[in-house]
Amino acid sequence: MEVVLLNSERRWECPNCTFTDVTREASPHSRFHSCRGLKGLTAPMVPAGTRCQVRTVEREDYVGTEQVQVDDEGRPVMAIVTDRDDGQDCAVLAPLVGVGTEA
Amino acid sequence: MAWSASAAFRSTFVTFVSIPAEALDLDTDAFKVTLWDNDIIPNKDDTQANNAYAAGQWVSAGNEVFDGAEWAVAGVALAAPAVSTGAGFVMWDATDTASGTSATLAAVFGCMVYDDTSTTPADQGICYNYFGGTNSVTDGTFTVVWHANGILRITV
Repeated sequence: MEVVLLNSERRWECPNCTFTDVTREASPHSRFHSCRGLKGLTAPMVPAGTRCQVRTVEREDYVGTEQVQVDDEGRPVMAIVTDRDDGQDCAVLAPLVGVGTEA
Repeated sequence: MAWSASAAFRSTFVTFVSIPAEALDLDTDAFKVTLWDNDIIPNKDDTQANNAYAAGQWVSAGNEVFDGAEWAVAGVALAAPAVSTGAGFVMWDATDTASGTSATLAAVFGCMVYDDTSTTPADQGICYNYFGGTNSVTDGTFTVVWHANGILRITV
């Protein structure tokens, strides 16, 4: 009986920094990293060789009392968008819901 | 008609502290993450019955954003929910929540997380997170990246 061995190795890269990685999961998955090119934000990586642009989108509304996610310069970032030739991915950076008590 | 902030539902916390028969377990219950457009007015002080999926502001028709099996109506399961604690805080966190790889979603302004295990009321809302503007994805992956300090954090 012949057995087919599937190679699930996936190589990842980031268009905004030099970080690369390899994963070996069989199921569909994505890979994030702390990106120096995007000022320390947790940003998605793309399969090696993908033609794309990965960019940040600044929060559109007032921050107010929201506990938003910010980059190394303190700018509130709403999302990281990946523009590909055949589509677009979006990773929204959700604000924290804070529940406080006062003494 | 619009989002303005993120918040936890007040009535849900009343349930936590005073109604043991309706106990919600943030570690072991099943939770789902739903996406919403800007037609709703989230209200943390609404009644317990209205602070649930498919009730009050959270009626799907015309408000919920979804795409077939990519980001299903009624939400995507929240993976690995867990409560942790440290000096001065209790934190609820989970694995980032992602769609399938071919999702097309438009005008996503925020998400609502609800308890898919709860029965009184069914699908009790836990909190809603306002993204701060409109977000979309075209034939790709939509991911909600939770804050480093969790989805929800209680400071004491």
